[in-house]
Amino acid sequence: MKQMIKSKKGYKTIVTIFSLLFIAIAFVFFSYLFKNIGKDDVAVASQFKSIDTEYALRTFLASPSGIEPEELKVYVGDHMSNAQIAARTCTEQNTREYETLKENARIYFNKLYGDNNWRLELIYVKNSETNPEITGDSVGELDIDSALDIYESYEKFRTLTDDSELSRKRVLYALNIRGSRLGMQILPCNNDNSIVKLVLVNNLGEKEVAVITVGSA
Amino acid sequence: MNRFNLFSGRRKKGQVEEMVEQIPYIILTILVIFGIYALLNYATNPQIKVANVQANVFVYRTLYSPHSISQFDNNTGRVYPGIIIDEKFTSQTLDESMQYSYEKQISAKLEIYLEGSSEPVRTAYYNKEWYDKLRPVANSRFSGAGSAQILSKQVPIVYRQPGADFPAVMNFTIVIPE
Repeated sequence: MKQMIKSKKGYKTIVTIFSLLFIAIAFVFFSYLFKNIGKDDVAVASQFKSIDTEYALRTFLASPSGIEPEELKVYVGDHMSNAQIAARTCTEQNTREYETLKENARIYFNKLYGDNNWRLELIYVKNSETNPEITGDSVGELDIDSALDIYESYEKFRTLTDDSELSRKRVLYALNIRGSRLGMQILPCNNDNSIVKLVLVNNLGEKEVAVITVGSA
Repeated sequence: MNRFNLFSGRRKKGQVEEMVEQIPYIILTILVIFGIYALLNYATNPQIKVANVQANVFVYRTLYSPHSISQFDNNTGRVYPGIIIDEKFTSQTLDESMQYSYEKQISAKLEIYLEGSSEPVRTAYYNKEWYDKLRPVANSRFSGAGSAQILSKQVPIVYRQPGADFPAVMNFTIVIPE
C-alpha cells in the first residue's frame, strides 16, 4: 500500500477506488433518502386511519351489549346495543349498564388495538346549549395528551385551562377534531336533555390529514 | 502526436498506457452520469403504487354505500356502516351497488366470520368472474403488466340476522390487476 501511494499510478488507482466507493455509498444513501420520503407520502395517502378509528367507534356502539332488553324492565326494542347502554348512563354511573359499557369497551378495543394502545373518553354534558355542566369518565390506559398533541387546536385550548381531568374533558367537548387516531360520536341521553360524547383515541399510525373545526361550547 | 490524438495512426507504448489509465475515469464518469439520472428520475417521476388506496376506497365504498350491504334507513336516508344485513349480503347486491369505469378494475371476496369461529358463516363476491380469473394470476406472485395483486383487510362488524345481532369480523380479499 505504501509503495502504491508513493508511485503516481498507484496513487491514482487508490483515488479511483475510493471515488468509486464514495459514489456507491452516496448513491445508496440518496436512494434510501428518496425512497423513504416517497414511502411516507404514499403511506399518508393510503391508510385512512381517521375513517378506521371512527368506524371502530361506530361499530362498537352498534355491537350487542350482552344485556337482554327484558332485564331492564322497560321496553328498549329487540336489541340492546352499546349505544343504548351509553345513553342510559348519563344520570347515574353506579349501575350495571355503566359497568357493562366499560367492560365491553375494554374487551372490544383491547382486541382491536392491543392493551394500552387506546382510550375512550366518556363526556357527559348537561344543559349543552347554555352553561354546559360537564362530567365524565374514561376507559383504557393510553396517555391521551400524547396522542392528541399533534392537534394544534387541542394544544391551544389546553394551554388556556389547567391540566385537570375536568378541563381536558371541557376541551374535548368543545373541540370537534377529525383526524388520524381519533374518532368521536355524540349520543342523546335517555332520561333528560343531556348528551354523551364518546371520544376514542388510539395510539396506532402517524399523523394524517386532519380536518379541524372548533365547537362553540 | 499529442495525447488527444490516440485513435489515429500508430501509437507508441506510452500513449497506450495513458489510454488504459483513462479507463477508470471513463467508467467513473459513466457511473456518475447514470447515478444522477437514476436519482433525478426516481425523485421527479415517482411511481406511486395506488393498489392500497384502491383497496381501502373499495372497502369504504362497500361499507358506506347506501345501497350496499350495510343497514340503510329509508326514512332518514342514513347508512349505518358496519351493521351488515344478512339478506343484503349477496354477490348480486355488491355488483349492483358499485360501478367501476371498466370491468377488470377490481374484484373481491367478502367473508363473514362470527366471533371465535375459523370458518366463514357467509361469503359473497364483487365481480366474481374477474376474481376467479385473476386470483390464480395474483397467487403466482409475478409482477409487472398483466399480473395482479392480492390485498386483504379485516374490519369488525355487527352481523344482523332477523331478530339477532352478532359481533363478527368481515374479511376482504381484494384482487387488483396491474
